[in-house]
Order: sequence, then C-alpha cells, then structure tokens
Amino acid sequence: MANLEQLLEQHFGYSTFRPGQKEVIEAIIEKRDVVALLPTGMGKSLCYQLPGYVFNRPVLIISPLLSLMQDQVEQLKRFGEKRVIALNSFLQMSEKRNVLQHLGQYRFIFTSPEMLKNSQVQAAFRQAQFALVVVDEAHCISQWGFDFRPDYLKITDWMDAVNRPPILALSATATEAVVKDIKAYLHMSQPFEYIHSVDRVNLHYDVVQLEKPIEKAPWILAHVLKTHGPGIVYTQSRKKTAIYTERLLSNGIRAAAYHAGMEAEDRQFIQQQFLAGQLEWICATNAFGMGVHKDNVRQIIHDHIPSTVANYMQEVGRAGRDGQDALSILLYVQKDEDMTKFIITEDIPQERHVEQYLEYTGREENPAVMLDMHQISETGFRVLSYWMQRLAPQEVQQKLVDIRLSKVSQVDEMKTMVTAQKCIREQLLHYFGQSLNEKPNQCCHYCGIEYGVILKEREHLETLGYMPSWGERLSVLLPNI
Amino acid sequence: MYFQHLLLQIFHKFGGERSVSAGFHLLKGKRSGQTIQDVGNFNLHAFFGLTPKLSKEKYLDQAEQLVGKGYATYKDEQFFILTNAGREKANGSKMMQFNGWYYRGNEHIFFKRLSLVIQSLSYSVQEVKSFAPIQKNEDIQLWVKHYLVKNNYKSNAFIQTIRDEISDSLKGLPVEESSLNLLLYRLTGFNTPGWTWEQLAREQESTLLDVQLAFLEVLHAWLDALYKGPKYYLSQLAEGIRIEQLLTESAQKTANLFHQGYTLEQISAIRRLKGSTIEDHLVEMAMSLQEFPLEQFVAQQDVEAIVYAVQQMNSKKLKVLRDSMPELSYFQIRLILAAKGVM
Repeated sequence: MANLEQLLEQHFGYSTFRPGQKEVIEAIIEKRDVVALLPTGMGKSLCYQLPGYVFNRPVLIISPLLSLMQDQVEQLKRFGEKRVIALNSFLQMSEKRNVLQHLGQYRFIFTSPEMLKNSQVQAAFRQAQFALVVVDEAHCISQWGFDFRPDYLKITDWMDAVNRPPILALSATATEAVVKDIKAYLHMSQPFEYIHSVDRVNLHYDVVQLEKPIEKAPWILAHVLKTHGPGIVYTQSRKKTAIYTERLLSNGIRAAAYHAGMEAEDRQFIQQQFLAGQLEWICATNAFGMGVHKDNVRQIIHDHIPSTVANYMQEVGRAGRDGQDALSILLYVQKDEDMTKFIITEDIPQERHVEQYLEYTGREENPAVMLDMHQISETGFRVLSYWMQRLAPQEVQQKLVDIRLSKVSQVDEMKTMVTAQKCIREQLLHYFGQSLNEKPNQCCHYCGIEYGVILKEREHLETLGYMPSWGERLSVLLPNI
Repeated sequence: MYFQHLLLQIFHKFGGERSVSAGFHLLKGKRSGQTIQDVGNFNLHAFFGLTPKLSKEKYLDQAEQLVGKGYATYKDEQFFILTNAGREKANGSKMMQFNGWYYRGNEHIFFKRLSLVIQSLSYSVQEVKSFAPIQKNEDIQLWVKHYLVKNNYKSNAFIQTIRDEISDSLKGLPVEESSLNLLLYRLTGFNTPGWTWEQLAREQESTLLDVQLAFLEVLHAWLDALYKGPKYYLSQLAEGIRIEQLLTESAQKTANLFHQGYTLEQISAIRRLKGSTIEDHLVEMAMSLQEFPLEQFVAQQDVEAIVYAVQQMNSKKLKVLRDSMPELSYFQIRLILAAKGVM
C-alpha cells in the first residue's frame, strides 16, 4: 500500500495531515465504520477524498445539500480529479441511466438522500460494491440535529445488513445525543470515533444586551465604523439584510446583502467580491457561508438568537479560520428568542394537519393535495407524510408535540447560554459534551473582553463607486499578455 | 424611467385601441391568440416577452405613473391611450433596440455562454487552471468546453481576436454607453468579480427593472448586429439563439396539415379542434410566415381596400373595418391585418 503522506502530497499538494485526518483515514482503510467530528475548516472532506486513491472501487458520498455537493465536486475537479460525478436531480434521465450503468468507472460518486429513494438507483448501488459510503453532514439524520431530514433516515435501506461497505459519518457539529442517533440510524457496528475539540481558542465571544430592537441597527453601524472587518452580520429575514446593507452603504461602508432569494449569479458575485477583499461586510441570512472559504473573516455579528447552539457554533466558526483573533458578537434584546421560536416552529405540522391528512387518505385521495391547496408547507408535508407512513395517528400527534418541544427547548438552551452569568466558552464545550482545558485571554463577555485588544481599527476604504468604462473593463478581463 | 419609455412606445403603437392589460400580456410574452395577433396587427415584435417575470402590480404601478405624469389616460375604462404630451414624448425619445419576438429569452443563453467563455479565458491568460464556473448549468458548461477546445483557446490569436470582436461590435451599437457598462460588469473574471443588479442600479442611480431592461436591450441589439454582420468567434456564441420556429406548437401542427393541402374544415375534424381555433392558427401563420398565401382567402382588391380603410379611419378595430366592408368576414379582415401588419 502506498504511503499516506505520499498520496497526500501527490494528489492534494499538502505535506502534512491536519489533526485527526490520519487517524480517521487509517480506520477507514482497516474497513471500520467511523464517526468523525471535525470543526469546519479542518479538512473534513480529505477524510474520504484520500481513501479514494487507496481503494480501487468507487467511494459514494451522500450529501444533503445540492449546493454543498456542487462545491465538493468542483473542489475535487480543481485537484485534477476527472472521475467524479454528482448523481442528482439535475441530470437528465438518459444521463442518469448512463451513470448508473457505469458506476465502476468513477472514483467519487456524490448523491442526495432523495435520489436514494429511487429503486433503480438502489439496485445499481447494491451491485456497485463501493469501497466506502460517506454520510456528510450526518447530524441531519438526527431528529435532535438542526436540519432534521426524514429522507436521511432511509439512506441505508438499500444496503445489505451484513455484507456492506464501511460507513464514514462526518459532521462539524454534533452533540452526544446526535452522535448516538447517527450510530443507531446508520446501524454502525462499534465505530471508530474521532471527536475533535469544538473549542476555537482564537474566537472571542461577546454578548451585548440592548433595551429595544430598534437600537440594533445603529449599534451595528457605530461598531462597524470603528472596527476592522471583514465580517458577516447574520440576521433572520431577507428584508433585514437589505435594511442593514443600505444603512452601511450610505455611511460609506462596502457592504452587500446575501440571501437565498437572490439570483444565482448575483450570489456568486457577492462571494467573489468578499473573497477578493472588495467587501467589508456581508449582511446575510443563514444561507450564507456554506462553501465560502475565506480565511480572514474577523467578525461575526448576530442580531438574533440562533435556533440552536450548533447553528451558532457553525456560524461563528466562519471567523478566524486563519488562526488569528476574531470576534463574535451577539446582540440581545429581551424576548428575542420568541421570534426565533416562531420561525422554527412555523413549518412543523399541527394537529389539524394530521386530521386533514387522514381525511384525504380516508377518501382514498393523495394527501399531497394539501400542498396544492396551500394547507401546509413543503417542509411540513415532508415531515408529516414521513411519520404518517410509520406511526399511528395518535403517535404522530405525540411525535409532532415532541419535535416542537425539542426545537423550542434548543432555542432556550441558546438563550440561556447568552443570558446566564457564566463563561460562554465553557457552556459551548459543555453543550457538546466536552470540557475546557485552558481559557484564552479575552475569552468572553463574562470573563472580560476588550475589543481594542482583539480587533484593529477600521481603515477607511473608498466605496465601490468608481466604475471604469466598459472598454477598460474588457481589457482587465482579457489583458494583453 | 426606462420602463416608462418602453410603455410609451408600446401604447403609442397600440394607438389607444387596446386595454392596459394588453401591454402586460405583450411584455410577459403570453402565447394566446389575442396577444400574438396584437403583435402582428400593431407591429409590436420588438417588445414581445421582454419581461416574463414581471408582476402585474409592478406593471400597473408603472402605467399609473404615466397617468400621473399626464402622458396617458384611460378611455371608456377599458382603453389605455396616450395624451398629446405622451405621444410627443414617445416620438421624441430614442428608438429602443429590442427584438423580443426573435429571441424569447434565448438571449440569456447567449450571455451565459459568453460569460463562461470570458471567465475561462480570464483565468487561462493568468495561467490559473481551476476556478468555480460562474455558470452552473451543465449544458452551458459542456457547450463552452467544446467551443473553447474547438477554437484553440490557449492561443494568443484567439484571445486577441475575440477581444477585438467584442470591442468593435459593441462600439457600433446604437445604445447608451451606460448600457454597455452594464454588460461588461455582469461579466466576471480573475480578480475581477461581476457586480450584482443591486450594485449596478445603485451605481447608475436607477432601478433594478430599468438596469435589467437596458442590459436586455444591449443583448438584442448585439445579437441583431452579429446576425447581420457575422464575427468569426462571437457569432459562434450566437448559434441557435434566434428563433426560426415562430409558430406556437399547435399552430405549427395546423400549418403542417394546411401545407399538405387539407381544408380548414378537414383540419378541424382531424385535430378535433373548433373551427375558430383553426382560424386563429391561420391568422398566426399569416402574421409569421412570409410566404402565406393570402390570395387563397381574399381577393387582391379587398386586401387593398382594407389597407386603405385602415389608413383612412386610422383604426384597426375589427368592428369599424367590418362596417365599412360588410361583404368580408371577420376572419378575412383578421388575415389581412395579420399579413399586412406594418401599416
């Protein structure tokens, strides 16, 4: 077998592994099931990319988000890998059939949980003899995870219980309860577990309590005018991304809004501008971040209570990837948590939805009519129909109550962390079942924090205003070489 | 403002004979008999389907603003008509370069190809091999890959020539400089990210709708120019963009049967469609097909009489024309109007 370091150098151009990678890869090569929790930016993907060059059978990667899948496929192509394919709903029928008939010719096959419901796909996968099956963002499996996706529970249905390839479950953020769920739902047998500390010593956590919601925007503006970016303001609505952006722009700050409602090209332009250092601040919904690899983000501001501690971790974790100091600020006004609770429980089906569902099935009609009649959201229907097919109606009612309570209590956990008179870092680690070894200086608002020590002052930048003519731009895009 | 100019031009052509909604259906590119017929009768090909995503509220709001400014008014509730001031304004403003009828959204495919080609070249001249493609659609990606390989994209000659082609052809277009800026700032490349619509609208102190329309106008004018005077590399990007198939699908089926020699009654029976629907298809054919045999349906002197009547009475209303020529059927009058659209 080739030396792992050699493969790393040869295919990815790195000379050393990052913490955890080698242990995980070795366990995979020994054909063990593995659960690996590695913080974002610690090279999670390499844990399956490198084994792809050790085995001579394809690696299957199940990925929950199409955008994430796209990002990973592009990343591999950038490393010069040609035998990679994304088997998803974007492919035409004929292309799909073609891919399924020639699975063996690929090294990496990405697919979505939705595709795995298809019986032809299942049949082809059973034949394929994968070297490894990777479940990315595995916390999505758990109903305690923040993105509960019922389809994800069925992703191993096609596999033979005994004679199956090893499974690698990857996540950046999972609590002990979530890890337990992952192991159970994926039927893992005595997996090797690599759990990296979730502590990020260069991140400093502040909480700023304000009296009224309307104080937030002026606070953000005043802060942004004084301190150095680049940074991201996370907010809850598309409208607010526009309001904050307008406010910053009209005060001479290079800012841009970002949310899922924008055109795909516009979203990419914003990402490119941010990466190229042309923007100081992005005002975004939680749609921003996935697949954006910018190392020098210095600040994250939340103007709201995130829906879970794990979400908060993931969002603040986008700062300081370069290892330099970075600051996370959460602005809190009493009762902010109520808005978050409202948003996250909006899509959970209610008692009446269960009754409507039963009325349709009772008349032998397809309950999906509920979607056409706008009686329920798509997410809501997905959850409802999943449980209705598995449990008795009374049990479904109970299940929905449980889901609601669990979501609400996760918001309360987040709120407690913000308002408790305790060290935030300790609480974060405790949440993930870990303990703190050493406290850095300027730890958090409870331990004491001074922005001047962590952040540099803002340097004045010219606003984006100047627009060279089209002719000049053409020669910048296509220069004479 | 831009959009309001557009509305003035459209309703100038309608000459007060259509409702405010007719303009909306036209801009949305509605494929109904009435809208298609309007395109022919009032020579509105340029504006067909320019804004497929426009909401009715936004549209009516803009129309209302024209009324507020004294450029237009409602006549008998159902007709939208320009005032003298509105007509003057429409006559005084520059001709817009749209050509919606022949592109129907395909202009965006042309631009997507172009944007991926420019991005690829921009990275390639810097010898950066990998980048995240701005166009995610795999058909576009494959097309561009093929194009680049076919044209030996790494050669200096190619890059220089395509740059000159872009520069030369854009210089000759009858559009504003600011619109050409929009085009170039929607392109992206090495260390040169594109600008969002929001950023462009802000920079040009305009609205989203207006900058997007100005951008569309450049694409149409540019494509027209490339079809008239081909450029070696650029014209390849425009391949298959112009719609040659101008009939709706159903009208095309009727046309095929008609060309095989079936009568209208036979076609109606074969296709199990009402006679009036088949007549709609014939009107569509008369409008779109240059070789339409109008003389099979009306005598030459009747055609001339209708053309004369339209000019005399300055109206294309069927009722008015029918009253002046009671011996012709509505169908015959519609055929004449459709075939002789430019009057």
